[in-house]
Amino acid sequence: MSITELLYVLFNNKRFMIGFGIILFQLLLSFMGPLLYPVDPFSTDNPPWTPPNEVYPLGTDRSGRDMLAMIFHGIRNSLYVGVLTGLFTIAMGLVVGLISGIKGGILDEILMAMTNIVMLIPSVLLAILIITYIGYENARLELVAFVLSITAWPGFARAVRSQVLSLREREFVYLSKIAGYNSLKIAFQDILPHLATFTLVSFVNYINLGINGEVGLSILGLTPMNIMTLGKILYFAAITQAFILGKWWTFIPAGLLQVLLSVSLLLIATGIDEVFNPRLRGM
Amino acid sequence: MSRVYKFIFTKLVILIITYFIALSIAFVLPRIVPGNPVQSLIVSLASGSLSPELLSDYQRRLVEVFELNKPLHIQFINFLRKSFTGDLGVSLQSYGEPVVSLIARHLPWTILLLVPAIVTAWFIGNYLGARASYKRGSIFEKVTIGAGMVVSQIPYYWLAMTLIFALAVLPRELWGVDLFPPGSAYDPVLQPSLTLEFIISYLRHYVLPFLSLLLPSLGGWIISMRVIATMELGSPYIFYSDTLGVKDKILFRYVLRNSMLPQVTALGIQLGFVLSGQIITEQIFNYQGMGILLTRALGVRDYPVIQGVFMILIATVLLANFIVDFVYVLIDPRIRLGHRRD
Amino acid sequence: MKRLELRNVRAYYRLLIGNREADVRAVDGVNLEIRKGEILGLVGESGCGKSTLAKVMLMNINPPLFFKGGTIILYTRSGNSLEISKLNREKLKKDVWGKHVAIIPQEAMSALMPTLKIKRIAYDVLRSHNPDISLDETVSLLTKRLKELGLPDYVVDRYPFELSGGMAQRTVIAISTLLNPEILVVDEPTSALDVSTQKLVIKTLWSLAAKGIIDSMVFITHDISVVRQIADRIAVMYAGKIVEVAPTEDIIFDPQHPYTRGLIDSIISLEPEVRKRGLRYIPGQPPNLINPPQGCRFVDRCPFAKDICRKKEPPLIKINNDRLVACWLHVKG
Repeated sequence: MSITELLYVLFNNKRFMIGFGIILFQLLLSFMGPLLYPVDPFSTDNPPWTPPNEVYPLGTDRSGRDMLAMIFHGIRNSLYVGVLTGLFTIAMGLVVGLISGIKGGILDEILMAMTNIVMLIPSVLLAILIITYIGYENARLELVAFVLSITAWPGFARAVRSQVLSLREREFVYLSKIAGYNSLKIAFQDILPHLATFTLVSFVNYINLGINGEVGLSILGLTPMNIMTLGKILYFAAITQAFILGKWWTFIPAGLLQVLLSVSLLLIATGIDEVFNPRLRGM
Repeated sequence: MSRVYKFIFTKLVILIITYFIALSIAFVLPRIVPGNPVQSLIVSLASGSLSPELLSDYQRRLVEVFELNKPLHIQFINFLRKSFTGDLGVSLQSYGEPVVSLIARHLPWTILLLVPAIVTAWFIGNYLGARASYKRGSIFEKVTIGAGMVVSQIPYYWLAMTLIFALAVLPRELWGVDLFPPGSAYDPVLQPSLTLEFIISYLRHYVLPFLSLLLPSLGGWIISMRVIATMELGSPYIFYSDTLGVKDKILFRYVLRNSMLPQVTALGIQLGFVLSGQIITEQIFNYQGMGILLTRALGVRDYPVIQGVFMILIATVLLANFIVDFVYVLIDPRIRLGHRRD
Repeated sequence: MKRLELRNVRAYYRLLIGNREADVRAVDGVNLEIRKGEILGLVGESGCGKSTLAKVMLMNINPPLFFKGGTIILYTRSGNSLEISKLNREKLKKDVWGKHVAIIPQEAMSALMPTLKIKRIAYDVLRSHNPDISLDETVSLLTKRLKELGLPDYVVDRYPFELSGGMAQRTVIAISTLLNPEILVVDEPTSALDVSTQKLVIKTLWSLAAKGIIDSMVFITHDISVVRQIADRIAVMYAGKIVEVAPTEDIIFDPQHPYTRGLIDSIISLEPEVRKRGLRYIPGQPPNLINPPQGCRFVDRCPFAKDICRKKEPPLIKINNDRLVACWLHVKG
């Protein structure tokens, strides 16, 4: 199938289109929003605890921060952390998985033992420990993404490895070996293209993980204080006990947007899987 | 039978190595902070609102905790010895209370909340997921999977906030009804005891945090079970039994039984996720478990407590994983009789 | 005389290619009868639709496979005739499957529920048809059947994975025939086994018929050398259609359809080593079953292709007293 045909098929997939539409809408919000609604999300010059009204469409929090401005900036930065986490995780997982699967032997054993071990350690705990000691005063979004992918890559690496192992049995890889190509060439020419769909689906899923993980670390107060993210919004709501005081506008919209973001990413991933993975069709 | 012992032995070795590595991380991290770690910690603490006396007390204790005046290998050996003998140091903040006794006070609440939530979610989620894949194309499937997909994507913490708002705060504001309390593990005027009054109070406080942990995890199991069960449904033994006229009820039992097995292993991996959710959930509910202990320690950078909680929680997860592996051996005849390694 | 009759039976796989639906015509207008007391061999190369036809004969059809039309009639021992292509799943399950028709699937090992002991598997089959039966009764019935087939009785207490390949295959045979079905459909029962075990399995199948446990059998394989050991008649399938049906010796020594001839030649003339891949030695590939050729489906590989072969489908006609062929070479006039 050609690229255009693939795209045609993809855009005809209901799940993919719904997910893609929602993401596009949120991206538009996050980039156009600050232009059309140029309010500083950290400014505390507004009256505190204002419920949504004509001046403050989504109200303000206890310090008088404008919720709508926070959300516009929050979505963008959360997506940034998500994409970064996805990239880091995919990169680490691909490298380890490919090496493990192609080289095999003792190197494979060691790498797989490593993934086993990292997988057993709860991600948030490890992240807490790393960020605490590295110092979270100067933590940046890139560090947050990095810490999240440190615990996420083993799962992907193992999956890549098992795919490589099954691909290795196929004729074309065998032929390349006979032809005397080295492992690197085999990895890039023969195996990587076959992992493309799977990698793409995983990438989308790890973006999701990154967005969720960022919120988790934010709520524990472990992310940079001077950058607005969806997590930060919920963090402010948590420390000001907004949910007990009944100030629903400070956490319901941000949370709903996050759920929407996650569900649409899941829909995109499922959509891609359905289109490219015939076995799942009609499920 | 010897293959089984080997399987368990391998798992045990992995467990010990993992714990050892976790310990090493906890040892190395505070020591690779650039410059003198204690000094840099003190500097960051001094920017807070601590009095000078408290600061010098902190400094003394930090040197003590990290044993920075000794050679590195001695530090490491002592660290390992202490952590295996249960000496996790003393809290910097709580008037020098031993970390172990702090943990002993908080751990039971966490376990009592965590374990039922995990187990209930596992059973119900897997049953619904298998049912949905069995009833392929039905309304039941569409509703279950749709709901599962959405619920599995709701973050624990936001669900916690929303549950408090919707089921504790809103009823009180609108109708003056105290449906559920908005936080804490029990009514603070009561002392933990086995009286009816306390148990009722405990259970009323239990519902919301329990739900906030249960639902997302439930959704996750529904989704993953449906994939596994769909694969099982297409397998030759189902077709064969079907063609011999075996009743649908029995076929569903086959699917459930065989799809549950990989989910047992997945339970071990899920544990870490739910625990992470729990840490945050506790903070939002002000539920006096390990999560609250950890978040409070994080707030004032009480390093011995942070380290101690980290080590105990990891040990708990590893132990639970081992139990799960052991159960797996017991219930899958293929492994029990040594025909498959894992 | 007849045991099972298929009239113009069609069953297609519905595939999604990209977002377009397409039908793979795996079974496309099959006419076939299985006679009382006979063993009918069904041969063809892989992908010709013979395994699909096995499912269709039993009417156990699951998406993406769909029944497109035709009639299947079952003639029971008690003299009733049952149009099973008209029955719904529940009725088939209750009255037909296991009782009148049973299947021996390709891979016995994966056909047995992996986490139950053999006696539990048999118990689930029997109590689905007779709710009153006990596990003990099941065990004694199963042990008896195992003995008849020359299997040791400890099998009942084993898990499937504890059996060897040949043992599992024969255990499946025992379980499938617990209710003495009239027809047994056997799908490539020997493909995964070594030669001596193959012989044993074939012997077991043979004794089923000899002892009257079953009445008729359909033996599906790609390997003519196996099927000639056991079959009374052979039906040759190509690209979703039956192209020739005749007594075994006639098929082997005097094949009439060009495809059958190619099939036989490639096996008889070559060394055993090459035999296994022998079917590839008919030049060319089977046609695409999404868009099969308008006329004869073998036309592109046929050395005798004529004009009419491209335009019109040849009918399956009787050319002498017990032989059916679908080829324009044999249509007179």
